[in-house]
Amino acid sequence: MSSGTTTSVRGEPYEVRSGGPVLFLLASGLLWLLVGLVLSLLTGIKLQFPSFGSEFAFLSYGRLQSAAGCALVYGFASQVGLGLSLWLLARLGGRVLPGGGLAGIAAAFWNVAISIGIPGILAGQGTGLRWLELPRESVVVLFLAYLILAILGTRLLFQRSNGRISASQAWLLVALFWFPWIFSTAQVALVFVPVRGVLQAIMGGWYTQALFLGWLTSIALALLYALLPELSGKVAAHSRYAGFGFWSWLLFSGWTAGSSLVGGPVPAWIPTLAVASGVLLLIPTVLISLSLHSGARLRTLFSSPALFLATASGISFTVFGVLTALTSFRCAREVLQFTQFFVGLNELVLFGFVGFALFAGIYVAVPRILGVPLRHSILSVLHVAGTIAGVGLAVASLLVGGWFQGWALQNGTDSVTVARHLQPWLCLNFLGILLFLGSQLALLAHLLTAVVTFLLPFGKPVLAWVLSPTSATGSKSS
Amino acid sequence: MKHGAVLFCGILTAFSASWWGMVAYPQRQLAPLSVYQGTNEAGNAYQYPNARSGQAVQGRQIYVSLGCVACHTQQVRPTEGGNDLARGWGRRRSVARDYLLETPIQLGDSRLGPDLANYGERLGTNAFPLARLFNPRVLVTNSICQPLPFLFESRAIRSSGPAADALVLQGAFAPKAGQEVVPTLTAYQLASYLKSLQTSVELPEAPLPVVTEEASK
Repeated sequence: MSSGTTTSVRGEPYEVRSGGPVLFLLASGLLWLLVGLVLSLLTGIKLQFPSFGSEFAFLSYGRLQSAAGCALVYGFASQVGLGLSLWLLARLGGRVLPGGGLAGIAAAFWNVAISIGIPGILAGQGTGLRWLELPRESVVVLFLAYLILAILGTRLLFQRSNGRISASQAWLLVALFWFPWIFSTAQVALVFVPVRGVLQAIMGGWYTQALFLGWLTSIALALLYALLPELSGKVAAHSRYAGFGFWSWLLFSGWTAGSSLVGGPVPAWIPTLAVASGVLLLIPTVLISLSLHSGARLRTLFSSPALFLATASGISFTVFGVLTALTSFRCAREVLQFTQFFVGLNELVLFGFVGFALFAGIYVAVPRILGVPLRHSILSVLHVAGTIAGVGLAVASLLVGGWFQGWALQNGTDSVTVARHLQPWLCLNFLGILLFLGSQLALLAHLLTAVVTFLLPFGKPVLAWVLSPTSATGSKSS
Repeated sequence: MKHGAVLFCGILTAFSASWWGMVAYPQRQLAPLSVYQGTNEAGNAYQYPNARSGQAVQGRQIYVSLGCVACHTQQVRPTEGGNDLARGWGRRRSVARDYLLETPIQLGDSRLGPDLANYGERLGTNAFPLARLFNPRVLVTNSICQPLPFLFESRAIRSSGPAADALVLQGAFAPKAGQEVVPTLTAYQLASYLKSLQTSVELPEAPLPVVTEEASK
């Protein structure tokens, strides 16, 4: 496969035949991305004009923020991630996704769960725990849907036709096992049979870290390890680094849970351990980054939107890892704790690192499944440019604004003045998200052209039959 | 397949370690923590933390459901962790025992607004100013906190005269002539919860600072 033209190659039979549920997960995931971004924009408006929509309880800032977060994490990132994981497993294992119908039903139920959950949060049924706000009833449906998809995915992995497990498959194995573990632990210990007091905060912190650094990171890295060598036409030079990076990431990332609790009312060893492992996370960050970027060449970078996005995703990963390590130190935490800096860091992971990787996956997977090339057009240029500029602006404004907020809070400036001085930065963040949202419309239009091209051969006879009902039987020739 | 088994065992070990260290072990360590029974200087017995009144408990549910935690933390860091004490957000640092009865915990991770761990204490002997919920800008001109008018009823003044608990609002916030703004039960519940936020109780692990004559001057 040569670079650049990859997106026009028709996929292998097992990819195409596994495609239905995958496409459904991708399409509905993108719709949830739009919903999540619109909710994010509403929170942005609330921060500039607090009275906006204040007659309605469902437009409360807190509810909008929770709903946006859940729509983006469970509706978009997890769902598109699951879809692409199944596609990748089918492709790397050379097998058709078993139980396509069952996978489709599970995917539908995943969406049912989120469709119940998001309005539930807006109606005030949220649990009040960060990233776990989805109401109980939707959580059960979500978990069952996940289990079905994960079992089907794991079967693909263990029935693979080729022997060795690639780096990509190893990361997918981590993702598929880690999510049910953390999700069930967190739901049982925090929502269904809550543990007492600060234990909730400790386990909540553990869940948040595992959700971002375990589940979402694993999927994104799996995509990058599979896509980057193929798209750039270069085999990664430092594959040994990939192995060391894998194990050291697994070892250190699970212990950073207490980083949000520095100075908090918890046993002192928890934040101390988090500081240490946060700094040590620099090791896997460097190793993984080296193995990802070693094949990168500036000449080929612009050859396809997928390659550009995948490279941008890898760079976001590096920046995130370095910033996490630097801000693990107590002196930095003292200033930055409770500021928008960490909101910015979350957006960097969710939109930048994970989001870009998912978009790159979509650019490769959709044409292969449909057998229709996605031409490098003005739409893809608009999408890629808008996405990267939007996310860059949104993240940078919060990282910088967060610093100023932290210094002001530390200097004893009163809360209202701090918030007022933060508003211009929040406004920049709003514009970044707006640009990000706008560019997704270009992606949807682009994908729609592919779907229409795909349907055209089926549509022609139907259209002809509709237009000339009298000669219905002979419509084939027209 | 051999390779797969090794990989799986390795992943399982890493996960178990993290789960044991961050979930199981803290549970074991913090399980013995109980309500503190002490005696104050005057020789009276006291216990802490105490269960909230029924109205405050309902108010807490409203606090959770509105997502106030998005902007307000409820934790006072020690001096080496930040300047919370210097800001007057509490007289001592927050400790695990403060949250023994809090479910779901509302520690918070963002401070777009002030910390509320000791909000009730800052009010002193005053009742919670309900107008602050109707619109925070009634009392704090530049506040970016959102108004919660849906906790109030705007209605025509009854023939028997204005309600005793109608809000006193002036200027841009004043209701139209013949109208009044009256708090609903929900507003009272939330106010009751906010008033109940007080943690300045002496604990062996978190003594209150001794106020000397010089310092108090």
